[in-house]
Amino acid sequence: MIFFSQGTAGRSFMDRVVWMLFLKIRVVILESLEVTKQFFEMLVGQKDGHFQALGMSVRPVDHGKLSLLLPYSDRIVGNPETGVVHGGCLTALLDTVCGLAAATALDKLSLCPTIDLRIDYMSSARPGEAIIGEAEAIRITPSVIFTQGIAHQGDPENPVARCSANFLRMGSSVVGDMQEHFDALLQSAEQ
Amino acid sequence: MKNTAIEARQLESLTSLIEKIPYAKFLGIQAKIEGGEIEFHLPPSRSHIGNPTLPAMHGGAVSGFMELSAALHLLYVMKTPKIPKVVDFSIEYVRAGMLVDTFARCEVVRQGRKLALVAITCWQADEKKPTATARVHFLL
Repeated sequence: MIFFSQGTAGRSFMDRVVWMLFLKIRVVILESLEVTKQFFEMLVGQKDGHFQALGMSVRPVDHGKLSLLLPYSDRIVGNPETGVVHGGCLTALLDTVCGLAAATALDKLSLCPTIDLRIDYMSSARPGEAIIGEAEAIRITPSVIFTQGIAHQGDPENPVARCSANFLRMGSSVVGDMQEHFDALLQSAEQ
Repeated sequence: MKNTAIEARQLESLTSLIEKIPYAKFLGIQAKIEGGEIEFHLPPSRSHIGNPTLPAMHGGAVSGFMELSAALHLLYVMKTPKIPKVVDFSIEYVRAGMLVDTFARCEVVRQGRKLALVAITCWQADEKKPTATARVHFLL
C-alpha cells in the first residue's frame, strides 16, 4: 500500500512529486497530532457513545499516520458459526479513522461530516484478533477532504478491507459553538 | 443460520435470526414485517453516539444498521437461504442522523447466481426525507 509504506519514495519524477504531496500532508497531520489525541480523548472520555461501545482506542502514531485499534469482542460477531466480526463494525472503524484523518488535516478543529464512504471487504477478519484501522487525508480542497484507509490485522500488505471516504468542510458558522464547547472541555480536562 | 432463516419466513418474524447474531443484538436492531414488507428499526441508544456535542449518531452505527438490514432482508427473501458475504458497501450520508428512532427499508436490485445487489434507504422522521442511502454487493 503506497499510501502507508515508508521509505518508498518514488524513482521517477512524478512519483517524487506525488510523494512530496503525501509528505506535506503528513507534516500537517503531525503538527496537529496533539489536537487529534485531545479530540479523540474528549470523545472517548465521554461516558457513552459508539467509540466506547466498540472499545476503540488510539494506537501510537508515527510519520503522520493515524491509526485506531478495534479489539475483538463476542458482541460484534456477525456470523456466529465462524466468529467473524460483522462488516458494520469495520465500517465504524474506518469511518472514524478516516474522519479523524480529515479533521486533523486542518489547522483548526472543524466539523467534517462524511459525504460518502465506500468499503471493499477483501478478506475475512480472523476471529479473536484485533483490527487496526489506518487512514490518511490524501487531498484537501476548500470544500472537501478526500481520505483513504485500510483495515488490517498486523500486515498492512494483506488488508481485511480498504475504504475511501470524502468529508465536507463545514463553514465556521456551524463550527463556532463546537469549537467553544471543545475548548471548554479541553480546559476542564487540563485542570 | 440457514434453518433459522427458513423458520423466520415461516413465522414471518426476524426475531429469532436477530437473536442469533451478536452484532445485531449489540446494535439493537428490530424488524417489523407487514404484508411481506420488512421495515427495520433502530431505537436510539447512547451507545450509538458519534458526536456528543449535537448529539448525532455515529456514521458507523448508521452504516452498520443499514448493512445488517440488507443482509437480514436478503436472508429473508432468498428462496434457498445462503449466508450472504459482503463484497463491498457504499453509503451516502444525505442528512444528519440525530439520536432518534431510525428506520430502513431494503430492495433487492438484482439477485444472480453469484452476486446480489441490495439498495437500502434509511430515514428518521419522514420516509420521504432519507438520512442516508446505501447499496451492498453480496457474494452468495
